[in-house]
Amino acid sequence: MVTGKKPIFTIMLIPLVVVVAIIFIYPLFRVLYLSFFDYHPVFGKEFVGLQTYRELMVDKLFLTTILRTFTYVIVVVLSNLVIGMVYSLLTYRSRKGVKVLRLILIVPILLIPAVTASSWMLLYNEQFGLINHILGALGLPAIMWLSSSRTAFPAVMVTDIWGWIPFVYLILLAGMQSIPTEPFEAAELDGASSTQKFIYLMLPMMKPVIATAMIIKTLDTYKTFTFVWIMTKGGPGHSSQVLGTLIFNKAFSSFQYGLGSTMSIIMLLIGFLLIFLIFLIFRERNRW
Amino acid sequence: MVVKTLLKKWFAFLVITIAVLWTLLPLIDLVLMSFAGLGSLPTGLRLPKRLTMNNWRNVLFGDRIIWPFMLNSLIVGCYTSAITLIVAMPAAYSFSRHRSRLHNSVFRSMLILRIIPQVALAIPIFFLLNTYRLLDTRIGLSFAHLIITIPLAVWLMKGYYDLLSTEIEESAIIDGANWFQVLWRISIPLSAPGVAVTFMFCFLFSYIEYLYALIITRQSTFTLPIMFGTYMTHHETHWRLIACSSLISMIPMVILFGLLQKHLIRGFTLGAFK
Repeated sequence: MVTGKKPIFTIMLIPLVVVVAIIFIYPLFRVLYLSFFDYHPVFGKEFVGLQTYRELMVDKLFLTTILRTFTYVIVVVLSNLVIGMVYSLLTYRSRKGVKVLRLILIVPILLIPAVTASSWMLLYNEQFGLINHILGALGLPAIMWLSSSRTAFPAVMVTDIWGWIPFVYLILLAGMQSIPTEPFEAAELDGASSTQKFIYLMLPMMKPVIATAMIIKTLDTYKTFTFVWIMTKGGPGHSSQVLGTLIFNKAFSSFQYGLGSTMSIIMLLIGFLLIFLIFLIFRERNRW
Repeated sequence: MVVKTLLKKWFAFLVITIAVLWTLLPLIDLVLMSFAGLGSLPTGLRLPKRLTMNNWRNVLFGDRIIWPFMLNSLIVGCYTSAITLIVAMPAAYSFSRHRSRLHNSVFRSMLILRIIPQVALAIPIFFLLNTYRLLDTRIGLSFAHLIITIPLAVWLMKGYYDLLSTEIEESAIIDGANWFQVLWRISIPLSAPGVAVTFMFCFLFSYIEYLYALIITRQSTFTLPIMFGTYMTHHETHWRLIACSSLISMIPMVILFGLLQKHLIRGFTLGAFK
């Protein structure tokens, strides 16, 4: 029973395989199928083959949205990693008060994303938001953070960064705490500076942890939807549109299911390409 | 040298202050807003001129009562976690105890499933639920949430079964127990802590989920994340109600994270780090 070759082990897989077939395999094929159609609940369904794909390849909105999504991923993931690293460096050694500090720093994770989005909308509010209030106190003009096409996108990215720092921070902190202390003591004796210890000892030893945090965060950020949708719906204009909100918009606001499906397929393909690239970069770490 | 350490200390202090401020300000703002009376919105971090408990009363017992939405969220979370465990546990057990090409490839595919963006499956899931009249039902939403929780639960549970030594199971077999008895009397009870942690993680991800809840639920089945949208209309935004319900929505999160403390890293990284 325990490790032998028994049919029971295959039977135990059946529920999982059935559920995966219903919630993943079937939907994937349905999206692929729909992507070849022009499908609208009112105007009906018409086979168009690769037409939609061809149109999207030269669609300016779609292409800029892909680029913007990449910008979003790069800015948010790198900021999270840098800030998470700073937080970890500040709190990885147990000193007086560090436990309280750690608790404070992970507070954002206690807010569900919808709440994070609304609380930042409050901060960004034109009339009584805290940020404009501070600007006013400094004698600067108020800014329409979320309704100006120049500031909406950065404003949403800041919210996303704030909301997910604890996630990256906790992973990096755990990694940093598990590093052995002996090499650092040896480096100390040899007269290495803190900066040298950080660059030549800490970073290389943290590499697998940083890689893990980065991979997971990159994939999750690529899927981003909630913050953008609640705060700006991708607007004003399309100035903060990302792939998640664009697809949602096409499928569930203007009911262009065919177009939405084609975009979904392209988003999936880019996602897999992304994974492939990340695997190439971190190849030596074969766990992922 | 003394000056240098002093400078360093001050620099660390400055960074910590900024970090704490930027982390807590949104929350402080919410707390202030939740007590603001009519006609006195808090500006800056000063207390609003007129303090009131009305907003809280309104959300806790009044006509903007939060509990039906909270209940929807809790029920969907429990359904999701329960179904996930029923499906994932046997599979995870067999992944841990048995190796074959089939097992390996199914297990690996869980990682690929984790990568698929939820929005890319939104259209067919919407159609599927529509066909079986499951739109606007809690069970329908739980069903969609399986997309998020199943890969996570399989990886987590396999990690727990890997930690469980096979010796006890083997000796039970020698004593004449059959496979069902081994499973029911030994393996499942011993994995109870792992089951509890996995349940809570699935619940957590269902509780915070927004996209599927947005397309599947209507007024009577709205979960908490969707409820906030109803406070923002074209005419006005009910900031005070948003503030109160935001703070209430944090209670389950505080409890969950309190209980999951030691397991957070494992859950966040799909068990890559233990």
